Amino acid sequence: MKYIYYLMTVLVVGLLFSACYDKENTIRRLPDLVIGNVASGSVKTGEPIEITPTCTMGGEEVECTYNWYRYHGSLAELISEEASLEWRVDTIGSVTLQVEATHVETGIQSLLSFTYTIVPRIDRGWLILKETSDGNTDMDVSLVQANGTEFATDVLSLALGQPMRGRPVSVLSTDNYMWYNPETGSAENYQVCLTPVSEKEILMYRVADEKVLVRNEDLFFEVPDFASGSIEAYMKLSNNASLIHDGRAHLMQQGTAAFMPALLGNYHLAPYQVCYGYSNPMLVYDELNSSFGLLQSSSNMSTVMEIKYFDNAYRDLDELRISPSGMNADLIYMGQTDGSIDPEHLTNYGTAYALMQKKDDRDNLLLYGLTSYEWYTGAYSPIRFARTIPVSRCEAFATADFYTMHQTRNQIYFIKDNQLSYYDIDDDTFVMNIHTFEGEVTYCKYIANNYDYNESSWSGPLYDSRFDRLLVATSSGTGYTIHSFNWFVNGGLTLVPDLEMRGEGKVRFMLWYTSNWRLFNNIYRYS
Amino acid sequence: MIRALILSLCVAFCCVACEETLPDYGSGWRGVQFVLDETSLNPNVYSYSFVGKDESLTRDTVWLTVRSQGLMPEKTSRIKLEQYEGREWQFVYGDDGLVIDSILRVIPCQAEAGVHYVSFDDGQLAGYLALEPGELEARIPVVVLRDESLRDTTYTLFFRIVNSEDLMAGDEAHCNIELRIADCISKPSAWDDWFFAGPWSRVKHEFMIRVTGEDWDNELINSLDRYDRNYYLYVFNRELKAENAERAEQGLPPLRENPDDPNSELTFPTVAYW
Repeated sequence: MKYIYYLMTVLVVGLLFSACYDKENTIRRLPDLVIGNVASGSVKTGEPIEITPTCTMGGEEVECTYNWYRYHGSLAELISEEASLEWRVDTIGSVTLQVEATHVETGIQSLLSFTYTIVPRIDRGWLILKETSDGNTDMDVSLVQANGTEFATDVLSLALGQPMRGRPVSVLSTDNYMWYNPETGSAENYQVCLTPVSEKEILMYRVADEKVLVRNEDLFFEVPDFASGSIEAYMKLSNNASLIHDGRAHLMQQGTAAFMPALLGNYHLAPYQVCYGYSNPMLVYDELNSSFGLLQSSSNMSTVMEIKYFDNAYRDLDELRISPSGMNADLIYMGQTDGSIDPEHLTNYGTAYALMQKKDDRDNLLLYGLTSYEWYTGAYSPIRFARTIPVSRCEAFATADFYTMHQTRNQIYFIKDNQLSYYDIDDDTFVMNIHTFEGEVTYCKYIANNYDYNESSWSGPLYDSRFDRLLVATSSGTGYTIHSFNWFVNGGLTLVPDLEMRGEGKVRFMLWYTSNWRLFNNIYRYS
Repeated sequence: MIRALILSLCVAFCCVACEETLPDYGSGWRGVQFVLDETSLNPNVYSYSFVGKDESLTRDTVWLTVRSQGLMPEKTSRIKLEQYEGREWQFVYGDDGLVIDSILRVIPCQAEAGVHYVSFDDGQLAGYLALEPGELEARIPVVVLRDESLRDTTYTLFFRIVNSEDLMAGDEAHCNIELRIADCISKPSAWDDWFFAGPWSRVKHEFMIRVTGEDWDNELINSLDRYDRNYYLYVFNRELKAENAERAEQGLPPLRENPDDPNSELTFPTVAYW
């Protein structure tokens, strides 16, 4: 019995040892699949996000396949299946992305979400519309930041795949373009857009995502004949826009998505549109009838179909009594300044100065001042200033290559044969050859940037970007140089070499852009 | 006592059990009615014109949408249409502007089966005037005929859905249709009293078709937004001015809605308010 007891004990102990025997069937946990080299970040509008991830397991790099998703709310869209992501942002604000890595050997997956903030590339700075070497239009953009100025070049080529056709005409901005979104079929109001204009094209370029919303045909109810004619001038006001194509005026009313057909009548407009205030009318000159006229604005109560010509009537205190119609004269230049010449309304009304020459008197120039006070109804002649200037006093003034008006003083700057001069209307004096430029002068504009500032702490950060500058662009070889002259009341013009900008092409138009509402309301001063 | 109570309860339960069940919505009632454009001021009015169509076209089809009501059909169910006589009230006003009398009159120029449209009893249509099993909506045809009488007069077909052996007529307001058939310029039903181009006249309508190349039918009118309307007003005024200038050169008066009435000069508004 005792023998059996020992046998049983040995068997039980053996069984226990046998149970503890290592059969190498322990389940070992595989290390996690870790995605590296992927992190949230920021990117400028329109620029690509470029990411090359790595995957490791237990510290060792392993081979994986990848799926990249961008999120629309909670909906994921597959945007790439490549090992490296290169994706151009197409939205504003921020975008949430996700990478899904799959370990090739085991099929183990890992997900990683990350967010990119999209920083506007067009925010505060210069828009430089330039002529390319083949005579088309492209645009450079400067972004002024605390740590310096960044440049983005040829942004129209980037968005369109090629430059706009034809030479540059203008670039202005709007904060209220109404866009018919073809994807949703609904209208989207208050789109903030740049409107680059070339001789043969016009388009709406949304600032937020640098997307071309509409182009050419979609901006006209009846498309003008671009084969035979060109866009010659463009003006955008807060509520309306006007475009002169082949001497014919097309208006766009606020809230409309396209330009109306040309205004009716037998006329041919000179390529100058002058405004005072953020709404119509715009002063124009009809070369066919030698008459000043007005582009009034359509409203919800009426549609403008014709140019409004001034009535041949005069205010009692108007001693000049010069008819603005049938002037038998050619317009050489017309510009706008804030100063008033109306003795009855010395404040709050600006003036257009028109430099003209009678068709039958080429020995004299005529300088007219037209008060904006009369532009609203056109019921009286607006001419309150007239001066005859013999051409012999300054031949360069009659045939200058460029003219521009000082925004707050009665001075007309002009450039002839690379020589910068100006005519002081108040003193009736010429100040000649104050600067000589090298290369070919391609652009000249006085810009009084009086509206880009914020003094109210309740509406964002305080800043002040105001300046008074004369800008002159020159071209040499394939490149351009932009010269800036600061202007001071007592010091006049001072060239500031530090403000010089350089790039490729020939500058034809510049706009100081800011998203400040004040500038949208006064964009006419920058045109 | 307890026995009596139990007995009365049993009787009461029996009565409750025997109470007639009221028919509910899904009791087997099957109906059909038209699907109308509720945003229209005259949702029951349709129009069709042969104007602009190829001369060889002698018949065409106007499609209307119907929707089943109540239970869905479980078999192919016939939709029955019938023409009815259109009538309208005319009021006679006194000097004080109040109604002093009213007359119920038959609307003139009503369409004739076989002349202006294919009769609803025609065997060709039988297969189309039906709802298939499980079908919620269907489009049913009204075949209009190009008769000579339509060249200068618009004929109106008043018709409605009536009970068939399979389907009952639905809501009366959604069962009656007024279809205007013409082979001449006729007022589209979408051209209502608030139409942006002003009151309808044949001269105005013809002018609009001529200068734009558009049919100015319901489809076009309903597709326009306010800005399109403003554009078209611009075009009408521009072309009218050009045409009147041309007429003046020929010694003719400006275009008139009624050539014999010098006070009926054709005009267009200059702005669309909505």
